Amino acid sequence: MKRILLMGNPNVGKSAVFSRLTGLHAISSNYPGTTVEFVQGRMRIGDEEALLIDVPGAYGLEATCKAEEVALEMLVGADAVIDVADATNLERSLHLTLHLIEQDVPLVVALNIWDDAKHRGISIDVPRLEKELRVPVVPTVAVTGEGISELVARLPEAANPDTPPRSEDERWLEAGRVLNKVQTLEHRHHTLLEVLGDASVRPATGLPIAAGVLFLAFVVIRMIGENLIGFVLEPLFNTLWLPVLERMSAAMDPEGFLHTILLGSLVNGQIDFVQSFGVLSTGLFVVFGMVLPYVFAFYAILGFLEDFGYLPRLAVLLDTLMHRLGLHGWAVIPMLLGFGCNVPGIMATRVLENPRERLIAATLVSVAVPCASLQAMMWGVLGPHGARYVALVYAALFVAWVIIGRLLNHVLKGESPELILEIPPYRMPSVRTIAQKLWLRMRGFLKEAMPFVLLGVLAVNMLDYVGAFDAIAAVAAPLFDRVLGLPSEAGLAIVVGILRKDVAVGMLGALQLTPKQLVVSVTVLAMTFPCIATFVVLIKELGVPSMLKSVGIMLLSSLLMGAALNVIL
Amino acid sequence: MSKQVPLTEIPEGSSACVVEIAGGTGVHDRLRALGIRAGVQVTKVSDSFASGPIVVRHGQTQTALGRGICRKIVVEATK
Repeated sequence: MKRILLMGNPNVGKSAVFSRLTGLHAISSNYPGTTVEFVQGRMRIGDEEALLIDVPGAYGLEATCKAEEVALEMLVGADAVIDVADATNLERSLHLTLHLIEQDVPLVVALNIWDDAKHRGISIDVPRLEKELRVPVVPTVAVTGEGISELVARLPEAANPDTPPRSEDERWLEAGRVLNKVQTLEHRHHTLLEVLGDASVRPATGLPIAAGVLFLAFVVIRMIGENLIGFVLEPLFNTLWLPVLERMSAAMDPEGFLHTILLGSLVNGQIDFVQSFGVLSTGLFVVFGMVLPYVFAFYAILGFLEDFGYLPRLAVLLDTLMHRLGLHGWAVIPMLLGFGCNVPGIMATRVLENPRERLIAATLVSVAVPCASLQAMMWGVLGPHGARYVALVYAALFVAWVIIGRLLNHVLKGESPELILEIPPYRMPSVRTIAQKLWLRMRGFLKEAMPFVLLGVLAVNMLDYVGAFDAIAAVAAPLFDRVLGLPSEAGLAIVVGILRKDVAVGMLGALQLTPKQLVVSVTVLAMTFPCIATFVVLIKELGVPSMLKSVGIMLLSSLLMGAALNVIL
Repeated sequence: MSKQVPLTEIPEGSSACVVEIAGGTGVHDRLRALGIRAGVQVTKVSDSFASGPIVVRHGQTQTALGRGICRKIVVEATK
């Protein structure tokens, strides 16, 4: 089978072209470096099937960073390359195109983001460009699908004109020469999006805008989440699922093993979705009724901000702050993703350059960034006592985030590298790509999280049934009582937190603690053991030694923070 | 003849031509890959307080650069 590579500069829409050609969906965003690992899929060219590989974005073939090294290795033995060029940034795209032409591989150019170029007063003489490059050039708009069928039709024409290798400088000169022949710029005034783009990157205007954007995002996420739960999911559970469970309950002995495991214990003679704690009652409700709506809301808003092009600007504004923590501005990406789920957050630390930064970022995400599940439970448990208690937990986590980052930056050898980051123009996102991305992420969440929640509830029920918890509680009681001011039962919840934090916070809800005790225990829980899934990813991304460091920091800092809160409050 | 100064020194909103990049080959190569090299016209879009990054526009692109890197980019003010 033929091997076709999809190559191009970062953030030119390769992933969008990829999903158009293969029907598979790769996550794309309006910032560079979304694809760090390569993705492959099958595509049809006439009657033939070919393997299409989405290569990480590269500015050149010189391998100045990890993604470019990968790109270079894959070029060996490829049958053809589809070079995705950015029509709004032709000179730089041409630089890579020329470099590719010098290689020994047939080439077709997809001149992508064609629509945006037109809007911005850039016109490109395509036939002339074909003549200059001596390879087929097809204008495309990957997000809408325009030009994609023509691209496929012209793939067999892929050519490799005989070209002597050039030096870097000669290549730039040649790119400049070709650009002058094919591109004409129409002078026009700045568009509103451009003005907004500049305003949101300048500190004086950008910082207030950032505060506004983040606050608004938070409010909208809460609103969508709450309304989905209150008006859609709770009614669904109560009208459709509850009768099924009630019938099952009536057929079983309420004190029996099966009933305890599957449906949990009856609260006032009823099945209670929050407190009964059975696999089919609380287990399913936690996933679908409490957490999923927030995950949905979070990723919808994040997807919009990503595709609009806001995140690189946020990275620039926060660069100074992040440097104090031993990171640079781009580390906001793993942090923000971590608010949805720590797993993709930790995986996104790959956008950072060196192991030191990755250790700091991954530790900060797993200790101090509460995932959507955890936040949903924080609100669920503490919200009824007043929003200020929830705010206290957020504040404690933020303080921990800053202190741990500063300490790690101080202790770990090395310096944080400087920011070099392309700032993409703002683009109005297409609803289709946002919806696709949202669907991919929701599916990922359900696949990752649901088994763990259900197993977590199952394991807790089993252990409780055999009385293992009483033994653990007895051992841990003095620690919890003296240092954290908590009853020993709260210790159970924290032990359960090893499996799944949100389940544990749910257990706390049933304990009749004072608001102060709840703040302490929720904070400790939020900071201690990440769920099993996060744990596995930490090992995968950092290796065992660094993971152990990270976990050590986690345990120590959560205990200290808990003790501090116990004294202060 | 206008003066040659580091990129950090020119005011926000002004344009300049890159004369040389005084860093090691690592910085040099990464900047060149992004299209920032000697002879290129850059406009300073945004400057931040104290130690923050600087955003420049060059051609159709905007790039954010850490301050340390900007000190190594020598430019000559145009106009």
